[in-house]
Amino acid sequence: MELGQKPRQNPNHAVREIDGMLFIMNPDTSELHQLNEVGARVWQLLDGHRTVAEMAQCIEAEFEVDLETAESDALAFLGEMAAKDLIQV
Amino acid sequence: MTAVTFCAGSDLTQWGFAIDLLDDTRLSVRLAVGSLVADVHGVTFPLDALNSALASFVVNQETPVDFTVTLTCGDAVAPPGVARVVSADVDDSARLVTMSLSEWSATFDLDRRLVSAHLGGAWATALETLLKSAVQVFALDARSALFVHGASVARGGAGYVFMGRTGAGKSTAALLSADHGESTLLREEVSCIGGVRACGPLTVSSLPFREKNRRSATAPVSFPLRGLFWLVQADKDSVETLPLSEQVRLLAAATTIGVRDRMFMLPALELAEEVARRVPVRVLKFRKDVTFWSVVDSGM
Repeated sequence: MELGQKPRQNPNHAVREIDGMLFIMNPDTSELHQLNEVGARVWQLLDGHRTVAEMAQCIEAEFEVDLETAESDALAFLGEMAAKDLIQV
Repeated sequence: MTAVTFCAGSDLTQWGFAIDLLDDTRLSVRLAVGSLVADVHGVTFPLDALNSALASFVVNQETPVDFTVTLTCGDAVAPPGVARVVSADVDDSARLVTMSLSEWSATFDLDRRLVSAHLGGAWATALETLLKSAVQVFALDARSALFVHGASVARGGAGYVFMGRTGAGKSTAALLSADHGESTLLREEVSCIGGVRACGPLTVSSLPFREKNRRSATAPVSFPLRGLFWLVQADKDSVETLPLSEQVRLLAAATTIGVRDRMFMLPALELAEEVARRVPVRVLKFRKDVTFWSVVDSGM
């Protein structure tokens, strides 16, 4: 994953917000993933038009975290999401 | 010949399916309840070989039909073994599901509520697995009932469902309950939580599909759902509450979803949330003896 990439949600998954947590169910594996508030916000930003860098800037503004931390966390998080086929790059 | 009509009620407490056996001229053959043999152009369909529970779930012809199954039968082949899914395709826009198993192939039209199916042979077991799939597909699409891997018991006029990982003791809990006191084993492997769209309580009910051990109730009965439990073996009996998100995660993990597609996984998640909000899922730690009921009763 790189800061200039524009990942997007995998449209094949079922997504539902419950009690502040975002649930994503992968139909191929039947795995159910649970995202917290920050993860859910990143998911919302995954529209295929924003770069990872731009997403990190949103997280920095909304969650009181410095930009460097937001970028490294976003890269790690999105890398994990890509490995689980939750997003498309 | 007189008619047998199977109708599925929207709350899934009444069971049955309208079956029209068709030949090339689309002649509808209707069959009497009881010892049933339909001769469809030389293909003999021994419906008296069906699970007797299916026959006991037949309702009268005035009962509204929720979906209709239209069947054709091929030449008799070797007796089917374990039904195996060969393929499943979903057309999201047309809302059609096509499934092909080793015993049958079928198209489920979710909007018109029709199932067009072909059985590889005139085998009652093939018909039963087809009907089981049809019920789960339509119930999930209608968000009216949730099918979960778990055992269910009726006790004291209320229903309880026990879920858990393989080996957690679901069958043990259910069978222990049925052997002690006024309890009825409703289901041992797959349980049905219904009444989701109704105004009254959620329900747990018997089903007209046979299970491996053939101990489940064979008459149509339904009870208000009082307890939903995720079983864990422990040295001491206890009941623990969970955050809603955890409850939904466990329920979703236990849900049977016949077709792995977003079109069915989304309603499964919605149903899991709805069910958990109305009857909380709790962790039941138990010692694999019947004493856990005192803990359950004290926690209710």
